[in-house]
Amino acid sequence: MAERRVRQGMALVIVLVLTLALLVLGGAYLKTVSQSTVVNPLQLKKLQADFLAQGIAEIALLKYKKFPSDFYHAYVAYLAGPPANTAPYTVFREQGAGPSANTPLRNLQYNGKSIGHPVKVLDYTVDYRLVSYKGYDKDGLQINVAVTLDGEGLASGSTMTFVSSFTFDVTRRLLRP
Amino acid sequence: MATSRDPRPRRARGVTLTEIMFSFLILVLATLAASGLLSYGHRGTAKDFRMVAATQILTDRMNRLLKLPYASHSAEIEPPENPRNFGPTTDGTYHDIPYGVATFTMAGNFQVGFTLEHLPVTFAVQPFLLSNDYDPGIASSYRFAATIDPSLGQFNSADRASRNFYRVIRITVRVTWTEPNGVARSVEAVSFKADLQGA
Repeated sequence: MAERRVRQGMALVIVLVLTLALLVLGGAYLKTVSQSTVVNPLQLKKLQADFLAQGIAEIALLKYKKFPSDFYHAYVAYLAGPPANTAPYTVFREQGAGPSANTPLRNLQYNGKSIGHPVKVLDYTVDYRLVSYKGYDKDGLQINVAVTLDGEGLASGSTMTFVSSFTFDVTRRLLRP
Repeated sequence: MATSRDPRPRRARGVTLTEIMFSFLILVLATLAASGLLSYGHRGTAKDFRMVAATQILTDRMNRLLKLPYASHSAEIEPPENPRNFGPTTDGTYHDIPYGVATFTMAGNFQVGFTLEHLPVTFAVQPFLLSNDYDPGIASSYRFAATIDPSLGQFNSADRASRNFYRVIRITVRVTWTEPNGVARSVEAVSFKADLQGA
């Protein structure tokens, strides 16, 4: 009699177990889908930062091209450290003529908009590094650009910093007074 | 005394009609919910795919624009102080780079547009001074101007003959599309091209 009671209602139990399994599978599927949707905006941010860094490196290279002698001497003086004059290199690296200047590399503004508009650029830095050896006149000029973007749409109040490095071959010649 | 037509004992008769009905109802509800989940997932995947396609188009156009030399872009911006727009509402090519409607297999149509504009740039430099006590091996012998000369690094003139003519172009690429529910979406990227070939 007891066995009969146990067997009654087995179809319901089986269906409930199947339903639970479906629910678990569905939940796992939803989680996978929701996680993959975050990847694309992240990839887009990385792409935007890369393009910006590439452009900023070009501008930094233009500055080097226009003022090679000023750069070399400022850089060597900077490496020699105190008491040598380090200010010229600091000025060179900052790449701006003050907040009032209409420059893309300092105040981040152009016609009242961020230079990265519509990409929201919070900050960026440019750093030069010479990879050289005294016995040769060939140098590697490394330009490191770090771009910080607003993490808007990904996480509240978050920021994302991407670093890109570009290396160029350059030749130096000694100046004679 | 009531008698059953089925001579088998009750426990061997299987399930009751009520049990079948309840089980079937639950199964139908679960299947409907599962198909709803699959449909939601599919919509999400399709939406992601459209964004991937848009990002691919964006990357392609920007890379092709950056590959062109500065002079090619600069010559197209006339007058030099005004931005030059290509697309997205008109179709065409710029140095073989298509703009306007772009079709991506299985993702639909996208509108591609880009803007080229000269960017005024001012570089700050404390000029190096070549003095008589200059020794390349001694950093302390280096002399620099005490102040930054703002006119030295200005490249913001619209006069093409001027040495201060623009040397940087700002490139903006934007890809827009419309979701099936009517929501407009876009992806964009910005970069710069500098005049590294001129004097």
